[in-house]
Amino acid sequence: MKLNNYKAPLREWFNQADRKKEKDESVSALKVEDLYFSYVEGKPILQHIHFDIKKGEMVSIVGKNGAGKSTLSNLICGFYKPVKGRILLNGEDVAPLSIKERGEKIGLVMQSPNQMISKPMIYEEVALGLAVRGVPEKEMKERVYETLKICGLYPFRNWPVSALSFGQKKRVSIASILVMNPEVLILDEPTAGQDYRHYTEIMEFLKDINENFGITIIMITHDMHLMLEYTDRAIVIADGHLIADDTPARILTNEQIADKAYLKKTSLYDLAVNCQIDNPSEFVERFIAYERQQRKLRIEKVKENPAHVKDIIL
Amino acid sequence: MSKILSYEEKDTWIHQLSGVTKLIFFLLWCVVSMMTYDTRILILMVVFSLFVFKISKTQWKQVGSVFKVVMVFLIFNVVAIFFFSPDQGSHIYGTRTVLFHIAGRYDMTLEQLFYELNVVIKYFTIIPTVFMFLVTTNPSEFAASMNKVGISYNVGYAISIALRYIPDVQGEFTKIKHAQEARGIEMSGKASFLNRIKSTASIIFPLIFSSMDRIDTVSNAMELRGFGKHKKRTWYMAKKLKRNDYLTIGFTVIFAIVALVFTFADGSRFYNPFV
Ligand SMILES: Nc1ncnc2c1ncn2[C@@H]1O[C@H](COP(=O)(O)OP(=O)(O)OP(=O)(O)O)[C@@H](O)[C@H]1O
Ligand SMILES: [Mg+2]
Repeated sequence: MKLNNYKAPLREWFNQADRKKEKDESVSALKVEDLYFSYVEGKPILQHIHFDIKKGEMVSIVGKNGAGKSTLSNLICGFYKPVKGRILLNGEDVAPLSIKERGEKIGLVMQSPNQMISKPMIYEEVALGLAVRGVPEKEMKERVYETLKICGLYPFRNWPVSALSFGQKKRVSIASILVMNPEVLILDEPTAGQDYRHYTEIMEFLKDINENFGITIIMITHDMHLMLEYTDRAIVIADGHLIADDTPARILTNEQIADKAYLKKTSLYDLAVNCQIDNPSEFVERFIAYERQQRKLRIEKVKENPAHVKDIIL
Repeated sequence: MSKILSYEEKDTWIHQLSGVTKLIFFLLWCVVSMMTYDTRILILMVVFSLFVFKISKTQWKQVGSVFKVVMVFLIFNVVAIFFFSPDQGSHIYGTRTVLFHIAGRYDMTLEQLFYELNVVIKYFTIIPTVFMFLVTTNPSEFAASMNKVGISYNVGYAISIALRYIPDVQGEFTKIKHAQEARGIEMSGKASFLNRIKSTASIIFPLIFSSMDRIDTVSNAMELRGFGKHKKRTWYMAKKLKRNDYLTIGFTVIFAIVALVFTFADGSRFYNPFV
């Protein structure tokens, strides 16, 4: 690619583009301290994991297959007991809480939708969590329909689950957790198997509830685009160890970490290097911030004039 | 975390036996246990099963929960026998020693108690051997060995897949259960017994259906890869029958013959202490 003509303008843009605003919330939502876990004795899966996720943050957890990401989410929800270490929710140790009690605060969308779906009909499945909490019929119906709309499932509300594709089932499982309004939302590969349109819709919705209602969101993902675009912070796990906890841009531009966790370096980074920008990761960060702003503007435009909805999504 | 009723590698001579040997033992053992009502032989068999169970180093946690389920069935079975044929015992043994009267046509007789005791013992001759067979037999080796003794590999493979899926289905069950609990359905000891049964059933049925679906998918996938196209295939888990295998089979056959001859020597399946 010939870049010569663009080098100077790009450098100029970099220098004037806004810096990303740092969030300075300081109330801890989910804190993990020195966590160790193994399924089989002598074969540690997670070692010395520690991080502190603040209220209202949107964080991604990345790492190659088998790194221990899903295991970590299961530990947080109490499916397994850690060998060592503590998990704190709103500053309180969750060790004495049962799965059900943790479930009142933490919503987990598991990796495989088949493991979450137990009712034959979509409506029943999404309503399940509300039904067991004794939410009145009318309110339940409203909330379920609303959530189904967000997840693009409203037309299917009376369908049996068995008639859905994988991507649709995944959305059913997301809907069935979203409907319960958890404080902390953990999504294990929310966008796996989603087409671009539904991907965008779900992610925009998550961003929205994150910003407007302060719901803390943790996403386990293999999607570097998602990590860069939608989250402000990424935790990298490789072979059971936490190897980085930083902004996505800085992680993706750190060759050592990217190699260790099999992450794909972003092409933006190469672009910055090629254009001799001194601080390539800062460049990536500003670029993403700029893109986000643009997207926001587009969405605001749509909100004023809904006829444009096709323009942004397609 | 230990998987229930699935193969676990351990170093005992029972684990090293070929799957076929264990199958022959298991089948003959069941035949004898079903045919005979001779209490002496049944007791001998219980003792022997427990002994084998012990040396196979099977742990309680591998089988405990299934054992409890079997016990529920057993109780159900025993009560049902009494309910439907309270005089079966007297009928068999020819005497009628009433211990006490219950109601209507129901008398508690010594003969009935003895008869039902035999039924209970029968259960206990089989249970440890089933457990032992399942947890000491490597599914892949089993399929290979069955083929070695001339059984079509399709059959062997079907059985081995069924065995192999036991842990998978269990893992699936646990995950579904966790997901349900996280959504607010209490399934631990805190919930009432009836509720627990209800919510467990609501998981098990979908699980059975999805497993059925999977059988279909797996068999299609295997066919695509050419499974069943040729009469033969290669195995890498096959075990040749060794000295211990022949000894075990020999012992089992002799035991079965002796036990049956002994049982039927007086012309009846029942051992009658009443006359
Ligand atoms: N039930 C289990 N018993 C034993 N080992 C397990 C079990 N579940 C997972 N493991 C092992 O733990 C490790 C971590 O698994 P985990 O599912 O957490 O990975 P992951 O990071 O979510 O991977 P992926 O990106 O593929 O979803 C793997 O090596 C896996 O083999
Ligand atoms: Mg995973």
